[in-house]
Amino acid sequence: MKPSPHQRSLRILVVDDNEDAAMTLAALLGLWGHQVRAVTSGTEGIETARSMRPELVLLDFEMPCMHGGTVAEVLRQMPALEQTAIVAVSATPADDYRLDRYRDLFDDFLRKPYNLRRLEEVVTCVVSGHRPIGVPHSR
Amino acid sequence: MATANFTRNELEQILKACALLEIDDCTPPYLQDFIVRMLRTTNPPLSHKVSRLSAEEMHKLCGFIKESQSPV
Repeated sequence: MKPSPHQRSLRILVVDDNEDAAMTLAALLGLWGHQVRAVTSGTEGIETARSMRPELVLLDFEMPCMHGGTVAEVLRQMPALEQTAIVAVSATPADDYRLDRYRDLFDDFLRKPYNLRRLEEVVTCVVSGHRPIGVPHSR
Repeated sequence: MATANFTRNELEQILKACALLEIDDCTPPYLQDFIVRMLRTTNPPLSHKVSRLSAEEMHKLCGFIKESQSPV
């Protein structure tokens, strides 16, 4: 078994309607030694977050039925998740104007396909007890 | 070349497993385990084959994946 790049195991929730994308993150983060739950809808994500109390949520921004921004709004209202880092995941760039309304709800942004170094950076930041730096604003 | 050990179909399955990852210059040490895990349910023999690759073969396979992901 290869050494994990992280010192501590996190509870991580992955919410993505694209099953392949959810599986990719779950497999990778599981290999790094984290406890990962992957779900494929916003409503499932909210229910799972309630019981799991994740330390990090990787949340697809563009999902049918319940938009990632709406899911983030609900998660931010849960007192139990006050310390939880929520990272937006999307195939569109971080400065996409559609993120603007929800930008303050997210601690960081990850673009698909996942850059492994960026993903490691984001997780390392949460492992070390810091919140990521935030999502850049659109120009 | 390491990829010569794989059939075209096997390489396609490996590329599909890595489709949502952006591979950069260095081969991450966990990439082999990742591919093995992703293929474990869909193609166990191929998963086993990847698990037996040496570090050098894995490095070459990683180079192949990276090249395949590059925009033409």
